[in-house]
Amino acid sequence: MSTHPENSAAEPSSTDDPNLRFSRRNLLLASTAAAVAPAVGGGALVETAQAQQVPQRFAYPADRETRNAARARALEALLIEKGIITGKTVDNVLSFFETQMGPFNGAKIVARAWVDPAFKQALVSDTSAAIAKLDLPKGMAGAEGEHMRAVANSPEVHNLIICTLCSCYPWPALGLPPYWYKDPTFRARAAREPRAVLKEFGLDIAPSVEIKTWDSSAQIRWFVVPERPASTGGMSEAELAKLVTPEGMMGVARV
Amino acid sequence: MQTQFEHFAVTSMLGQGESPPRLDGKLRFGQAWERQAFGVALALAKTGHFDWEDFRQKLISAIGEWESSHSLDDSSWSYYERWLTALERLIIEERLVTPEELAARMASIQEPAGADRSAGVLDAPQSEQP
Repeated sequence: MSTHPENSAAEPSSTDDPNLRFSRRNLLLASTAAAVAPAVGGGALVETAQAQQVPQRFAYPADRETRNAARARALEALLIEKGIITGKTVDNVLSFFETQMGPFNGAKIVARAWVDPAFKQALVSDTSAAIAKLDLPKGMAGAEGEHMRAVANSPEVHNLIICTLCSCYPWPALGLPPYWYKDPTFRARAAREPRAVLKEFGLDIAPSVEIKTWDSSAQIRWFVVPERPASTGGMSEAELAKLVTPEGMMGVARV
Repeated sequence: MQTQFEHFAVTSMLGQGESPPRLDGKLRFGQAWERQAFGVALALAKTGHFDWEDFRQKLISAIGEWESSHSLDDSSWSYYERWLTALERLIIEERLVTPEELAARMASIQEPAGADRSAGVLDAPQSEQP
């Protein structure tokens, strides 16, 4: 269990009231996040109009982005000035997410498998050893990376990764899992009726194709090597890597 | 075994209401200040200035306050604005900075034209508590 970061955490101390309150937000999370992004840059006029209809206490100034930027700058500058943190610590934290761990690692692995059949074979038979030969961040070998196992899609077999226990996920290769991966309904239904669930994801798997579900655990984190798309014969490995999506490596989408 | 604190911190929030927005599995920052606020909070926790769980609880409260006063589809929702509010409150509570220091720094960063908003420099750390 010690290899499972979520289990190694101290149990959250107050899961009673906040969780109840947040259950609605969980459902709204995706649509809300999507709606917020485009409004962030150019929504100042709209926000001003809305602000006039809500109590002053909750009104946002039209320049709230500028103000929030100042708040963040004030925080960081003060903490650095007082010697509490260094700019380097902050940079390291951010670069971990931006350059070390994420779906781009998995995309490189898959692209290599597409251009090199011997690598693909090695990847499926001994994932860790095959990945170690690639030029990937060294953290790939530790943390959750040592437990990764690849399964390859073919014209006869489609693979789907799930985690019925919780949300075990090969994060060094795929990044952090999307919110729905942890949803109890998805976890239960994907195990019970994967073909129907995939169809709801917009992936209609022919009846002749076998669907295999791979249940991740603290011991093994599965990921899928999707089939190489047609008409990509002339593409370089780097170009191919750009085609690979996290969903493709989860088996809920074609590439 | 290696457990990167950064990964632990963010996965500990997965599936919870306070989990950061993502795109294709990657953290998504719409603005530079969001990234900055995220980095500062993790850096402080990683270097032991507060427990990550304490920050999470502050964030849960800050989000809860917003939710109890807005409809959930209110487009003025900003996850990282709540994050900033939680972070400001926690560093004051942990006595890493004083409200006065923070307010003074804000004043020096903001344009002089911002004087009419000076009363709202901080999100009134204590008085807004329900």
